[in-house]
Amino acid sequence: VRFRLWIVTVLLAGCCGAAACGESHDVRAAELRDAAGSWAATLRLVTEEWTRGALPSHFVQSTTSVATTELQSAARLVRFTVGDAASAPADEVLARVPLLNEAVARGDRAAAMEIVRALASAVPPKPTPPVARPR
Amino acid sequence: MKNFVKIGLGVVTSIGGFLDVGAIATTALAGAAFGFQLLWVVLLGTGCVILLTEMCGRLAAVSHHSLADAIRERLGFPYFSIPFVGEFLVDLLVLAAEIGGVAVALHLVTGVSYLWFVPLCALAVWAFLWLGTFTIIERGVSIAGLITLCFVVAACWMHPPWAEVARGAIPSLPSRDGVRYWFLAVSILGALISPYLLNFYATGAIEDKWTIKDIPVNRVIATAGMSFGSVIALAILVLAAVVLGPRGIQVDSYEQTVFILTQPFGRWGLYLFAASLGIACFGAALQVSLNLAYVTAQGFGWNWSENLKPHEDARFAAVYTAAVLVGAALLFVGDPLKLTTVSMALNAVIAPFIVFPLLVIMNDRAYLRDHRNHAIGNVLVAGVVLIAFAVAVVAIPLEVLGG
Repeated sequence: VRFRLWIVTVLLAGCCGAAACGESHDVRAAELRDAAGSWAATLRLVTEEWTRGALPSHFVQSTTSVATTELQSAARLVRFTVGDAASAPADEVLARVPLLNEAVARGDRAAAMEIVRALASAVPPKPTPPVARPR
Repeated sequence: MKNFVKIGLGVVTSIGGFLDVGAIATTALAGAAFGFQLLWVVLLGTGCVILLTEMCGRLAAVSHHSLADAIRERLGFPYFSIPFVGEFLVDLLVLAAEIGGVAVALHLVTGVSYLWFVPLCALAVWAFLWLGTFTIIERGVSIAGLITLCFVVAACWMHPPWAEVARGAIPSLPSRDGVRYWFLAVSILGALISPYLLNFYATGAIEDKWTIKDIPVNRVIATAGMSFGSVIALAILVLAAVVLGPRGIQVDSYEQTVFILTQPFGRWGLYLFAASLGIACFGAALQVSLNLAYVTAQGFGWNWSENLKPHEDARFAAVYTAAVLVGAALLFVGDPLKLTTVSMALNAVIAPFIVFPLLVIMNDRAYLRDHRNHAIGNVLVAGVVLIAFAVAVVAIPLEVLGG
C-alpha cells in the first residue's frame, strides 16, 4: 500500500509541476524567435562551410529542407495559439530559404553568403557564451 | 600477462562501446544550450555507471547470474515483470533511436533521406546478430568505435577555455530556461546510466566465462573503460559549447551537430562525424537488440547465448529479430533525434526499478558470498538509487513539458 501511495504521490507531484510550468503565449513566441534565430545562424554557418569547401552542396540543401520543416511546424503552432504576428521571425527565414537553395544550386557562393548575412541580421540568434557560469 | 590482455581489451571495448546516439545527442544539445554548465552531470553519470557496471560484473563473476536472471530468481516473477516490461518498451525506443542514428549517418554523407536507409540498416544489424558471435559483436564493433576518439582530438584542437571547462565540473543551478536545463540533465543521466548497459555488461561477463578470479579485472575495466569513455562524451559537450553555442545554434537536428567536427577538420569533419555516429550507433543497436533477447530469455528461462547457432536458441533469435523489425518500424512514425531524447529520459524513469533490486541482490550472501557490497559501496549505491529516483520524479513532468 505504501509503495502505491509513493507512486501516486510522485505522479501527482509530476502533474502539478507540469501544470505550474505551463507555457504562456509570450514564452511560445520567444521560443519561436529563438528557434528562428538558431536556424538563421545554422544556415549562415552551413553556407560558410560550403563556401570554404568543407561541406558538399547536398548537405546545404538537406539542412535548408530540415530548417523549413521545423520552422513551418513551429510557426503553424504559434500562429494558431498566439497569432499571426508572432510567427514573423520564422516567416523571415522561410522566405529566404528558396533564394539560398537557388544560389547553392547555381554554385553562386557570393550570392549565398549575401543572403545568409542579411538573414542573420534580420533574425539575430541568441548566443550562449562558452562558460560554466553565465551571468 | 593474460590478465593484462583481458584488461586492455576490456578497457578498449568499454571506450569504443561507451558512446551511443543518446550520449552524442544529449551532450551536443547540452553544450549548445548551456555552454559548460552541464558538464557536472556527465561526471555524475559516469560515477554512477562505473559503480553500477562494477556491481553487475561482480554479480556475474561470483554468482554466474545476469541481472535479469538474479532479479527474477531473488524477487520472483511478479516483481521481475515490472522492470522487464519497462525495460523492454524503453529498449525498443532506444533501438529505434540507434538504428535511426546509423541511417542518419548515411543520410549526412549521401543527402538521401534517412528513411531509405532504415530497412538497410535494420537488415545489417539483424545479419550481424544472426551470423556473428558475442566476441565479434563485443570487440569488433567496439574497437571500430574507437574512431569516436576524433571528438577528443577535435576538442583539444579548438583550444577551449580550460579554466571554464574545469569550472563546469562543479554543479550549478541554471540562470535561465530551468525546465530545459533539468530536462537535459535528466536526459544525459538517462543516456549514461542506460539500464540495457547493466544487464548487457553482466551477461557479457557470463558469455566471457568470468569467475571470482576476474573481480579485479572487472574493477579495472569498469573504472578505466567508463572513465575514458566519458571523456568522449565530455569532448562532444565541450565542442558544442565552443562551436555551436556562441553562434546561437540550438540543436534541433543532426545536421546542426556536424559543425562540431567540420570546424576543426574541414571536409574530413563530415566524414568523421558520420563514421563516428554510424559506428557508435551500429554497435549500440547490436547491444540493445541482444539485451532485449537476453532479458526475455533469462526472464522466461529459455536457452540463451549469442555464441550458440540460431537454431539452438530459436526463441532467443526470434526475440532479437522481432525487436529489430519493431525498432525499424518505429522510425517511420517518429523523428530520430526526438526519439533519442524521449527514450533517454525514459531510461532515467525506469532506472530505479532496476537499480533498487540490484542493491538488494548485491547485499545477499546467497549470491555474492564474501564479495557483497561494503558499507561505503552500499552508501554510494543508495546515493545512486536516490539520484535515479529523483531523476525519475523530475523526468516525468519534464517529459510532458520538454517535448
